[in-house]
Amino acid sequence: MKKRRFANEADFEQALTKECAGLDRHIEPKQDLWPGIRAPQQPPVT
Amino acid sequence: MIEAPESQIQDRELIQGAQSGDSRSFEELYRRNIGRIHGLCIRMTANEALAADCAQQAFIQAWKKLGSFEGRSSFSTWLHRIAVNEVLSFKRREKRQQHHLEVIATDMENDPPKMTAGDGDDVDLNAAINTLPEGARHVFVLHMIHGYQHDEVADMLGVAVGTCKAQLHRAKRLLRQRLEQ
Repeated sequence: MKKRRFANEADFEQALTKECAGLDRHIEPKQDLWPGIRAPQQPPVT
Repeated sequence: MIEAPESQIQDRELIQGAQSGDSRSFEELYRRNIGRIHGLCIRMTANEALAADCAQQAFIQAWKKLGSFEGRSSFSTWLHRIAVNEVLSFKRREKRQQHHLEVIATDMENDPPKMTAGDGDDVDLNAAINTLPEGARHVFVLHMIHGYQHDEVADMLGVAVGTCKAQLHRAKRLLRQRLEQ
């Protein structure tokens, strides 16, 4: 996002909404977490 | 009749398999969802190591609670709620522990950490979000980034809708200040 003065609230909201739309992305962890999840597992309660 | 997308059908089959105790089905659900859950945890905690712990714990809880998943919401939404709970309970535990060790300046509004600036006038919005006070950041991430409505965010965080709206207003005000600095 460019550092700038926003003309008004609507200008800021528009820029923010546009930027935020791109932030809902997947971020894989650096290490595979599955081994730590598998270890304590037990049959789910049904 | 509208057909469900293939991924949803497969999700349903995987959930049924996992509910029957098939860990391979659950592993596939983990592989499909870990990026999104980890991303949510990173944005809520602003801390990569903590986010990984919370994401891992969220899947452990999901496995334990899978029997109670009835499919009233999507699996992804159900997982999101578990992850948000994990972040909040981790933070609560952390606060209790730190309370005995030191006095912490919790309101970063008065002394915001430095943002990571890009080249020239570019400002990293992620870094700016990370500088928000915790309550404001949680609301901002869930509402503005993940698209939850105020009542859903309030329910997840255990606060009133009015508080949620006030925190969002605060978050936007602080972000604007920091982006205009």
